[in-house]
Amino acid sequence: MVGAGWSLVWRRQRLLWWLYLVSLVMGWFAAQPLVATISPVLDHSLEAGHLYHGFDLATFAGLMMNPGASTPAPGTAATWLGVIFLVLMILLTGGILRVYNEDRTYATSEFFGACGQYFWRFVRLLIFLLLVLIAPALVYSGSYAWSNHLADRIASPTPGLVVGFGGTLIVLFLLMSIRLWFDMAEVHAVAENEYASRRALASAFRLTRRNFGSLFWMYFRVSFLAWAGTVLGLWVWAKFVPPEGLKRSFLITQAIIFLWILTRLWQRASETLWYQAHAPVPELIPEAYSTYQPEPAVTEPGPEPPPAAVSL
Amino acid sequence: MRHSTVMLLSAGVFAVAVNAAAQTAPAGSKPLSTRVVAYQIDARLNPANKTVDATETLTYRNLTGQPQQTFPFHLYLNAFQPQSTFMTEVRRGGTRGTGPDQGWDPKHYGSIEIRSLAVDGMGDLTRQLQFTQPDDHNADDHTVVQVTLPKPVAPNADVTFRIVFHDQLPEVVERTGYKRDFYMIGQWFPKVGVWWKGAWNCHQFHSTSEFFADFGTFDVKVTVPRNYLTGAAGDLVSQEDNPDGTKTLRYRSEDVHDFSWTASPEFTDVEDSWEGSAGTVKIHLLTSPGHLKQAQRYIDCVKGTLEMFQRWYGVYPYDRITVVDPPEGGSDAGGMEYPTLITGDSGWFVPDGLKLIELVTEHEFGHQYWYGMVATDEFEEAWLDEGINSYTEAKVMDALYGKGRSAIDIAGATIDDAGTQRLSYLGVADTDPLTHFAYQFISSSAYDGITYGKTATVLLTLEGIIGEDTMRNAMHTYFERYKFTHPTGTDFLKTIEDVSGQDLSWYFDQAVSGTNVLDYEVLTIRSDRADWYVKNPPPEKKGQTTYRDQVLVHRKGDFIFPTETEVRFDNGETVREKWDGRDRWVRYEYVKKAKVVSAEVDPDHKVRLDKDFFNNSQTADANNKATNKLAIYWMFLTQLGNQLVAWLM
Repeated sequence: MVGAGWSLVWRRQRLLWWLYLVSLVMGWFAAQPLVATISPVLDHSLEAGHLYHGFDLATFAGLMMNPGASTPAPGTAATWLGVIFLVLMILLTGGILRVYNEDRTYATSEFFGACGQYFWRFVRLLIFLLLVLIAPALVYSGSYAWSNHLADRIASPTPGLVVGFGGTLIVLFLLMSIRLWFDMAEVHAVAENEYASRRALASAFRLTRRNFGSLFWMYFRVSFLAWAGTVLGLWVWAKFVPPEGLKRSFLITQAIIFLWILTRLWQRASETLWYQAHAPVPELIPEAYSTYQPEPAVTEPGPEPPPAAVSL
Repeated sequence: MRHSTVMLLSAGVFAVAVNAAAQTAPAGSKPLSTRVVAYQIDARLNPANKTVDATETLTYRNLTGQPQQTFPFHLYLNAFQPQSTFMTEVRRGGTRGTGPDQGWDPKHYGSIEIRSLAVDGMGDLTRQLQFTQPDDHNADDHTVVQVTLPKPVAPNADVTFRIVFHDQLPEVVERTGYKRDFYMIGQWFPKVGVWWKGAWNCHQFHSTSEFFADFGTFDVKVTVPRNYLTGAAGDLVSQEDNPDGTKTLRYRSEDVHDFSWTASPEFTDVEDSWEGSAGTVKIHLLTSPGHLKQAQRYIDCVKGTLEMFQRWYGVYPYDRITVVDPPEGGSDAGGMEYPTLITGDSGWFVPDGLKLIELVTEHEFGHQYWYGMVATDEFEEAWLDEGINSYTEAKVMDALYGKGRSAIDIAGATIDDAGTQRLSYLGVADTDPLTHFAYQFISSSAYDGITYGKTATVLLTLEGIIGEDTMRNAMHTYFERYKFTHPTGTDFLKTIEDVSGQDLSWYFDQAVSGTNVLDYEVLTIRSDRADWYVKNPPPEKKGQTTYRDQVLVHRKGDFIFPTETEVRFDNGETVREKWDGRDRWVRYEYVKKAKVVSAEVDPDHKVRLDKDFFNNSQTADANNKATNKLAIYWMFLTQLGNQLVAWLM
C-alpha cells in the first residue's frame, strides 16, 4: 500500500509542487521582516563577516541585542504566517483527499470547489483533535513529573532518564496513533461525503482500531523516512557545507522541507488507497418507493353491503 | 615577626597556642602566609536529620596592632531562612542558584546554632552572644553574631574560643547543603571576621556576595557513615573506623582561609597527579553517578589549567586539588571555590563541543589564585576575584581549547570565553561601576554582568593598551606581590601601572570606577568627484578620476578612548589614523585618485569594551551575504514550524 501510495503521489505530483511552492512563498514572506530589520545593521558592517565566514554566536547575540535589530517583527510575522498556513492546510486538505480518492486530474475551479466543500467539516475535526490531544499532554506532563521525581530521589540519572525517554516515546506513539485516526476520519469524510464529524470519527476509530497494526506500520514507515531524511540533511549541512555556501544551505534546507511535504502527502495517499481497499462496504438499504400502491383485491366476503339505491 | 616567636610572647593561652602551632606548622617549613587563625574542628554528620554537630576551637592571634575586645563571627547557614537578608534579596533580584528563586520551600531551611561559646581564661560567654546586622539593620538576619569579652585581648596575644555548634543543612542551595545522600558542607562553622582597614569586616550574607577571611590553619575531624566517601580542603592525615558504623577522617590544611568538605556513598574517586615546580599535585575527582564518562574532561582541564597558571602567573604551592562533581539535581552546589577544593558542573550528557565542564572547572580552579592565595575581599571588591578570574579564564580557555571557539564549538556555531564575558556585560553596561560592594548592585544580573563580564572585558581591552605580554607580566607581578595577603583594588591597579610604566588613571577612572559606555562608530564615508562642478565631466575611470574622500568617526558613548581607524581605498591603499577620542567626532579627508572602500574603528579588534561592534565599520558597497544567510536560516525555521503546525491538519 505504501508503494501504491507513492505511485499515487507521483501521478498527482502537481499537488506536491504546489504545496511546496506555497510553503516556499510563505517562508520568503516570513523572512522579509527579518531582512528589513537586520539589513541596515549588517550590510555595511565588516562585523557581518563573523556571521558569514562561520557563525560566531557572540556576534549573533550582539546583533539580537542591538537596538537597531532587536524588534519583535520577525517573530510576529512568523507567528501570523504559521496561523495562515494552518488555515490554508485546512482548506487544501479536502481537495487533496478528493483528488487522491478519485485519482484523476482536477481543474483548478473543481479542486478549490472540493476544498471549500470540506472546509468546515475539517475545522470541526480540528477542534475535536485539539480536545483529544489533551490525553497525550496529560501523559507527557505525568511522565515529566515522574521523571523529575525520580531524578530528585535517586542519585543515578538513569531511572529518571529512562522514564523521561519512555514517556516521550509513549507520547510520540499516542500522537501518531491519534493523527492516524483523524487522518482516517478525514479520508472517510471525503470518501463517503460524511457531514457529521462525530460519525466520521466514530467510523474511523472502529476502522483504525480493527486494523491498527497494518495502518500504523504504513504511517510509521513514511514518518521514519521523514525523520531520517531530516537528520541526514542536517548532518550533511553541518558537515559538508562551508559557512559561505549559501546556495547549498538553501538547497539542503529546502530539500528537508520538500521531504516533509512529500512524506505527508505520501501518508495521505496511502491512507486513501488503504481505505478504498479495506473500508467496509456500506449496507444497501432498499429505497422506500413512494409511488401509489393499489389496495389488494378483496378475496373474502366482506360484510354485507347496505342496500344500495337502485339507479339505472 | 615569625610565627613561633609570637607564641612565646603570648600569655594566658600559651599552651593551646603552642599546640596549635605544632599541629599546623611542620618543623622546618616556613609558613606561606601570616597565620591569624587556627581552627580545630571535630564534626559529626548525621545523615538521618541532615545535621552536623561539631566542636570548634579557634585560636585567634591579635595582629591588629590594638587591643580587641569584641569579636564578630559569620554564621552563614542562617541565611537560609525566610526573613534573612539573603532571602529578601533573592526575592528582589534572584540569585545564582535555582532553589529559593522559585519561592520559599521549607526544604531550603538552614541554620547554624551556637550552643555554647567559652573563651579560655574568661569562662562561658554564651549569654554574651548578640546578633548584629552591620549592612542593613535587618533584625531578622542572624548571619553575624558577636561576642564582647570581659577583657580585651592585647596586641600580638592569642585568644582561644571553644564553640559547640549545630548545623541544620538545607537541601542544596547557594553552594551548600545536601541532595539525597550527597553533602556539600561549605560555610558551615562559626568563622571570625577580618580586622580590616581599622575595623571589623564581617558582612552579613547576601544573595550576591561571597566571603572574606584571614589565613591560618585548619585541623578538622569529620565523622561520617563508614560507606561514605569524603573529600575535603585538606590533606588526609588519618582515618579510623568507629564501633558505631561510622568512620572519622582527619584533615589538615595550612595557609588557607576556609575549609569545606563533601561526603556521599555514591562518589567515585578518580585520582591523578600533576608535576609542578613545587612538587607533585594530587588531583582527586569525586564524580557522581552517571558522570564518570566526563572524568577525563575534568582531569584534562585541571592539568591544563595548572600548567597555564604556573607558566603565566605563578607556582601552585599546595600538594592537592580536589574537584567535586555534584550529582543530578545538586548543581546548586556546583561552580564554587574553596581553598584546594572546587565544585564543578556536569551532567549525564554534555556534548564535547559545549565546554561547560571545562569553563566551570577552569574558573573555579582559577580562584585558587584569585581568592585562595590573593585573598581579596569578596564582599567589597568582588571584581578582584571574580572579575580577574574571569579574565584569566578567557585567556586560559583560549589557550587550551582554541581562540574563537573555547566555549562552544558545535556544528559550525562557535563562541569563545571572551565573547561570553562581553555579552554578559552588554546588557548592563552603564548600571554600576566595578567597585560597588557585591550587594549594592542594581540587580543580580548587573552584579554578574559587571563583576565577571565587564571586568574581564576591561582587562582584555587593557591588553590592547599596554600589550599582552606586559599585561601577563603585570598579572604575574600582582600574584607574586600579594599572594597570601589581602590586597585591594588600588594595589592591583598600581601594580599594572608599575609594570607597564604608564599612567592609566584615565582608563581606570572610566572603566573601573565609572559607568562610562564605550561606543565609537563610523558615521559616514563618502567619495565625491573633485571635478563635481564641471558641466560635462569625463566618465569615471578607476585610478584616473580624482575624489575628495571623507570619513567621519563619531564617539557615541561617554567613554573617551584613543582610537585607531583604518581607511581602505579601491586602489588597495590603506591608511591608519589615530585620534585621542576627546572630541565628539573627527573627520578624515583625502584627495586621491581612489574611492573609499571601507573605514573601520579599532581594526585590530583590541577594544573589547566597545558596546557595539557593528557600527565600528562602514563599507561603501552593501554586502548582504550575512543578511541572506540569516534569512535562509530563518526561512527554514519558519517553514519547519509551519509544517509542525500543519501536522494538526
